[in-house]
Amino acid sequence: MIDPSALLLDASLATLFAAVPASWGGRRLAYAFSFAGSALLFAAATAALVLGPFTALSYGGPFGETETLGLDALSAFFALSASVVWIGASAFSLSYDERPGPGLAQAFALTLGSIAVLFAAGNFLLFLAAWEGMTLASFWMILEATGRRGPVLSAGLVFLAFGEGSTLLVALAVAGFHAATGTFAMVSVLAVPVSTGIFLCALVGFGLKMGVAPFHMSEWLPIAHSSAPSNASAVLSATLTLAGVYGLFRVISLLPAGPDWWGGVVLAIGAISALLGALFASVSEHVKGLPAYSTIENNGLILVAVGVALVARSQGLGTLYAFALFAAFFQALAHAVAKGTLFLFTGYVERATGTFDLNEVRGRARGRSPGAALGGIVSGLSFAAAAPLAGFVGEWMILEALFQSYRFEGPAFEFLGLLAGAAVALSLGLALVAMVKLVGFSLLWNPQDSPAGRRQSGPGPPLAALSGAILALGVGAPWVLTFIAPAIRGLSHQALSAPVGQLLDMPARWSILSGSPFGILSPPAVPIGIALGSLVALGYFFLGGRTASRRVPIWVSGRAPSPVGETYTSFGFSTGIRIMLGSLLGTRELRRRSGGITAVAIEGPEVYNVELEVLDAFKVLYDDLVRGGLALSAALKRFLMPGRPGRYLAYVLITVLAVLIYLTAAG
Amino acid sequence: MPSWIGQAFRRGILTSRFPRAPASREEVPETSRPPVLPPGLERIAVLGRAADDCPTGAITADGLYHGRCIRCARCTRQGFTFGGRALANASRPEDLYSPGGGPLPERLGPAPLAGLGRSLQLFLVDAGSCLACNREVLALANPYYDAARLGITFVNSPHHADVLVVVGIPTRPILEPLRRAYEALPGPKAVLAIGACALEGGLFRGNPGTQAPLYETLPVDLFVPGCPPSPLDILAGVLTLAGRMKCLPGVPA
Repeated sequence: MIDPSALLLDASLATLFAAVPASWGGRRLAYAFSFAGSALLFAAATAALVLGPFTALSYGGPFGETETLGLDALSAFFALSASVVWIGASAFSLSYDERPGPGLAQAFALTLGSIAVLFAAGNFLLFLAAWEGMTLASFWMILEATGRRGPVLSAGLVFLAFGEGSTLLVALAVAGFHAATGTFAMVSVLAVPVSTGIFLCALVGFGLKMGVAPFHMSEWLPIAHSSAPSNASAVLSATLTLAGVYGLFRVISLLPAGPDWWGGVVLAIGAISALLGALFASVSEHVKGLPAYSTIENNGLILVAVGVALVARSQGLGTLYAFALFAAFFQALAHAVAKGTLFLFTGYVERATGTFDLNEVRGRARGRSPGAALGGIVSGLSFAAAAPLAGFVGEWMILEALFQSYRFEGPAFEFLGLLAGAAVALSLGLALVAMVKLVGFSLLWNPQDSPAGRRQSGPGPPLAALSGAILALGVGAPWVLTFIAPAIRGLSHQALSAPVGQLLDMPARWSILSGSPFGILSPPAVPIGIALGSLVALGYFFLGGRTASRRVPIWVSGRAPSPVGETYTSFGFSTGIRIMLGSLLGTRELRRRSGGITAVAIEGPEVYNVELEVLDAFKVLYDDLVRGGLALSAALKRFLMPGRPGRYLAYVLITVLAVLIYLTAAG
Repeated sequence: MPSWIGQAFRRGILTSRFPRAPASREEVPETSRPPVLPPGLERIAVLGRAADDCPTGAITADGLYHGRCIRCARCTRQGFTFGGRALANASRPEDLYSPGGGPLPERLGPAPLAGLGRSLQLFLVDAGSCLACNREVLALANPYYDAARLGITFVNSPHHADVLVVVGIPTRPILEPLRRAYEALPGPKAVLAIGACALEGGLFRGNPGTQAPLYETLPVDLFVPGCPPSPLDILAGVLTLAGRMKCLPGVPA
């Protein structure tokens, strides 16, 4: 008898790939197929989490191994998270994709299909193939942007270079598995020395896809510079990085509890990524670059939780291990859904205003589509960790896990936990700045002189639905944690009931407990508290508590406001950060006669505009490496291939002599 | 251990105890205090001679305009002495006029910001000063006067400020920005004029490039006379505005 959940998965994969030929019947048909396939994947993943793991398909592979397609609890969790994003992104694409030709829809469908196969792959060979397919399909998706020349192509090539590097390292990790176990099946490795090699390869390989420091160029560059289509950005930023997280967890689940420095490395990388990502997000002026940097931050946060979990596992802290895993999973889920929503929102902003520069958007996206605006506000608030949204619960859990780093053994780890905690807290604060900037300058504030944007009706429903999902994930976090517990059970056998606790006399699932004697949070109680507080505030307001208000002109150092209207720019909003954290950002001051973006738009020929430029030290490093590599190859070319026939004849002669000598010696 | 830690313990607390304790003679030197005509002199004759000598017109044949005095000490040749009580209690220039050159009546100045508690933000505008007053005002932020211990800080935008502190004689181009700054201040707000120039123009009174006095441009709440006034005089003025001076500042004459 056929397992119904297996049938669901088969149907899902078939539908996802059928979208590619379906695109010749029209783009919308292709996106409808993607939508249906994602919905089926959602159902299959839910079935796997509720009913248990299953194998959908099993056949002999080219190397005599058995290829299987199926979902266990771990992959089901990630498939579930991704499918939520895909459902929204496909629905959004129906109205968004107005490009000529079916290329984008095909690349979109292929990317979705490869990621789905990656989740379903029951053995490493198929996993690797899907990983590579995913990289190529997303490269195609990036190229489907405005053109295939110039900066677009070079940004796409950067993505491809990082992606192939990632494939190489993942392949190395897979080779390590094969060397240790003799099979491509996903079997646990027990030997520690080889597992250290596997772990490091996997960490860097999957970290490349997650876009964590120092590989974050692979994340923001293609999105920000090439202005990849927004539905593509949502899939890239929300689910491609999720695939990296999945790979990391898959490898960790198969490795023994290694030495505790594994966790320390992950923790350090995560904390640095979180801080850098948030920092650059808060000073980004690009409607899509900002969420792309925020992805770096969130993947850093996930890595921080993974790092805490790994240290706890090595040092035998069972409860903390389970809780940190829950934190990482929940943050991954929250990030995927909210980031998908945010990128779809940027697509709406792009369509409504026709620009990617926050300084030019200036609130013109306001009032064009209430549903899309809701999506932007809710997902932005979620990244700003506003209660009771999903991001708030995830970040609370990560901070709670870090607070318990005092349980670590050894002052080095305690200190690392402390520093990571500080970095995470700082990055959360900076993320708030970034999100206020993105949402505020696109939606909430509209100076009188800004022309209205284009009215949109398409993006409303999917974005509204996704924001409902973000809210539901946050409020229902204890139930969600219980639901995804099977995924964690595969990694940890201890203390599964720990995160779902009891608060005062509330039912057990109304609160999250981070471990005795530690923090407790009741996500469902938060909206109740907010509602009560709002009632008090509203009562005060209506009972005559209004205070007098007075409108004054903007303060521009005492100068007369410009005749075209003085407005705070998005650049000015984060200039404080540019100056205060200049040492981290590499802020440079450029003085220009006119033009450029300044903190406050100044009119008049006599005024110097002071422009601040920020610099990513890692990008400078990569640029220098590339320049050095090119210079080296040019020098070699000049030395070895000077264009003189005599030299080439000499090469031939030397080769013949060498072969002769070799043959004589061997013979 | 870094040397500054040991140094800090050796030296103890050097920060001024004002306003908990009255200012000492070292803190408010005699030359920063207003001139007084000691009793027992031939008042009419001394005033007449000093009025001829006075470069700013602070001394007239009838009395002494404290707001105009620039502490040049020329009148000491005629018998005036320094050491009057430093005053920050006038909201009108005529309050700083003492007929006959004697001491002024002792009373506390107005306290328009009395409801603001222990936090006060100052926005400083240099309307055209010689920088002497700027130095003395900004000295409030140094470790000796440490106005922050009293909740008094300097801010960079009038939107964040409670008090508009003006130093220097207003030149014509600054008038409009001054009005804008005053307009940008959220209520309740106050204007504090520091130094002889901000009061009635000091040495530059009547200069064609200037617009003296300031109180014709802005509703000044409190004058702090002096040229320049000492930081404690300024601090006393700020605290008076907030209603936090319980008695008159300065040392007894």
